[in-house]
Amino acid sequence: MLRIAVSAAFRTASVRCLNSNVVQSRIFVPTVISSLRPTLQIRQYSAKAPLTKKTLEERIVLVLSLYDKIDAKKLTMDSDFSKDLGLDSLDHVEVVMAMEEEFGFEIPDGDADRFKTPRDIFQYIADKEDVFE
Amino acid sequence: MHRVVITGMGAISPFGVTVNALRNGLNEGRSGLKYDEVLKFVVGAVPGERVEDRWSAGQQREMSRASMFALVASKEAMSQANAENIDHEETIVNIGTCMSDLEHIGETAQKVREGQSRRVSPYFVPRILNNLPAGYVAMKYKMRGGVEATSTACATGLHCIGNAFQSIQYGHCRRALAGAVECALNPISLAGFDRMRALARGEDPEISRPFDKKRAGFVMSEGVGIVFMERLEDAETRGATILAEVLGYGISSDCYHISTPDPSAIGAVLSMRRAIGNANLDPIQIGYVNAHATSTPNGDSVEAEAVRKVFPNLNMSVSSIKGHIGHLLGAAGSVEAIATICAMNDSMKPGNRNLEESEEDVGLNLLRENQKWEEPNGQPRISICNSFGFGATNASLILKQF
Repeated sequence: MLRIAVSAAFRTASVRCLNSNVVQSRIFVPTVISSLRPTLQIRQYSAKAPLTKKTLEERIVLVLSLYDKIDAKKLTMDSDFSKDLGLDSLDHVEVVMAMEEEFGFEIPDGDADRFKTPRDIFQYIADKEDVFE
Repeated sequence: MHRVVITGMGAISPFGVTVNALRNGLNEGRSGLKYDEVLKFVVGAVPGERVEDRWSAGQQREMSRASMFALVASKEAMSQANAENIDHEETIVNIGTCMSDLEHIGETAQKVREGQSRRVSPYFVPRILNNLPAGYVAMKYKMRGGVEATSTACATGLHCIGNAFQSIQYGHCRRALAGAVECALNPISLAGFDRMRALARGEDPEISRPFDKKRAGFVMSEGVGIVFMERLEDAETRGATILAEVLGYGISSDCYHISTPDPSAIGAVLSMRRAIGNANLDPIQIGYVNAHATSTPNGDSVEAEAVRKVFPNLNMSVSSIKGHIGHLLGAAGSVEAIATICAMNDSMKPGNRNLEESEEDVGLNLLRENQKWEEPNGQPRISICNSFGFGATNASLILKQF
């Protein structure tokens, strides 16, 4: 189900961000996987889409609201995953998996452990991807 | 030593959800087996609703089908025992299973092989652990006496009930929810058992034929059987309806071969004799043997021989309900114990479905059809249930009508 939710997130987010560069970034595949599949040709013409603070926040909220263990009505950027949204440590791993799929890079466990709220994820990705505006 | 009684039962079988579905199917002598076009085997799948749909999408990712089955049957047992709202600090749970969620293991192995370890679900381990059905049940009812999941292949169900019975008997705990669950109707386990040449092949749903001359392997089924047990005095104080008393339990091992029983029948003989001794009974007091007989050529003959040895010159009534519901692997013993309790309370010994001709009739009453069970001189009816598993593990349980 998570797969479906995530791919739904992909589709919706892609439509929402009409910038074609964003669509390009959807086919980003980690090099480990592409090297294991020599027959799969992936052409990457450009770098990943430039994120703005606004699109970053929108995409984080969209992925979270499509995650079936989160009540979208309770979701804000400052909701605590455990106290406000009722997620346990294993659900937290699923949330981070969804973020990795959405933004196309791996988040080391030590970093992911510090995500208490959606804003923490926002801040982390903004720092990693140099999002300033 | 405490006397131990059963006050609640829950089951899912190829006849459907609930003990009554099982009971009616057996009383009517029907079959719950069908040829599956996808799996290419006759199997005993649970008909009707998709049990998973009772849970949310998120819970379906966490829980195996076996855990869900265990929760459904536990609810039935607990509600029949009227024990949902009593204190369970001293209640133990022993719900085992034989096979874990092999398909989920296969899918996960595929991801890891493709270098996608980061995509392995955090619920992979909880879904494949054999004690998680018991864990979910204990958590639901706050049963703090302990959680176990005895796993002894096709003898799992009886070992779980037997061990829990002894824990209550010796005062290690006060109550228990025990039984076993099996949800292994998938191409992986079917391929595995088929390669052992253990499965009946073909499209005829009547190929599960315990003790019959034409038997050629077992039919795999899914399901769960769970009983709620407590001290006799507790049940009486609570005013609970007592369904049966557990009188004795015996186990043994063949030490002969991983999947073939010792032809001398020593394993089955020892487990039955120990159960009878444990119950402090004379073999003549027992009126019915609910056999493990899975419809394999070897296994059925050896069990028949064991019954002849343990009950000499008694023309003992013997039947296996695997002709009706197939072989529930780990859950077989617990579902069959429940069926045996129903049989005692309905005064009816179930017949061996599909048994026509047999080479095992000598010295035994291999029941051809359901037979009225006359009350033995005003005494309660007493039965013995057998289960034997790969790894040469055997169990026998003695149940008395209350």
